[in-house]
Amino acid sequence: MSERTPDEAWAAQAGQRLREAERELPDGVVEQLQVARAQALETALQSGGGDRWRMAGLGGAGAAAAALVVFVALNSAAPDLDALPLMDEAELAAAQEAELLEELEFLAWMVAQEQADATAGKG
Amino acid sequence: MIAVGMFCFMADEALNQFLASVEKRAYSMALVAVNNSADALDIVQESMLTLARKYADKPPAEWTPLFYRILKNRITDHHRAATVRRKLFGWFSRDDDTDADAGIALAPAPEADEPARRYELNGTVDELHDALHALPPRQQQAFMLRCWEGLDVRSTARVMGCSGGSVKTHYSRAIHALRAQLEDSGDV
Repeated sequence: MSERTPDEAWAAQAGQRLREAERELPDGVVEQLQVARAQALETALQSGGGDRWRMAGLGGAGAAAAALVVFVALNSAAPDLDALPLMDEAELAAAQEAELLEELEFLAWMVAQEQADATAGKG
Repeated sequence: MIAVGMFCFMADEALNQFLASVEKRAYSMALVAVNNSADALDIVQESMLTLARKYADKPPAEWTPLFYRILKNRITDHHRAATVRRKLFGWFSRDDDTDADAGIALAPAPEADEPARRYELNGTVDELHDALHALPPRQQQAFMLRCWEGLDVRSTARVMGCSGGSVKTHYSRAIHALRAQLEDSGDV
């Protein structure tokens, strides 16, 4: 097992403290979060749950009609900014190139940081 | 039909358990980002509603990155709205008084050898929250997702909508900035 760097050790401690603190939220906040969760589940039941009931009962023809509706909705709706981004082959290749450039930029920045720290130490 | 009913119940229970598992962390993250308890609660509520309304039928394995992406977007929307209000009215400030969420003073790090001391995280959680709040948004996001939530680089990149290299850069800069600020606060 490789040893942690100082940054990794520090980050691990910070993450642990943050997770410990979130368990100590005020009771009023916890109650409000529970209310929000209940409202979200009610929404899921009214929208997603209802659709599941209907689609289960329609059979093959109903499923085809539903697929057509979904196709039209997807092609006419505004872009969903909350959806996770997907990439095709060309985008993936470009992203990997960009990632390589960013790695090089990151390394250059690290070297500059170390040089600055060394200079500050001497001064 | 009974089988479908059972399926629906199990799916809703799975969503309930997921939301229960993330709600406190999501609120804490939103609070750090926007510095206001009421706004943080609104952001979490909107995020839960969006996930339930639009993505409840996705595989549960997708809920974590989806939820945090929604949360990130809602926080960004909040900052944009606040910026517009500031420009229009001039008296809004990002440095709003925080609600009286009691700081949790943790025991100071024990005395240790000099090489180990520099690894220690000193100070209160409030100071850590303040330092995290002061980070640029992308560094803040990367730190919260990687360090606080524990997402890997790939998942973090999907949530943030950037490459893995960008995630590593933002995360590393965040750690350096946080350590510098907390060490400069005089608690080392």
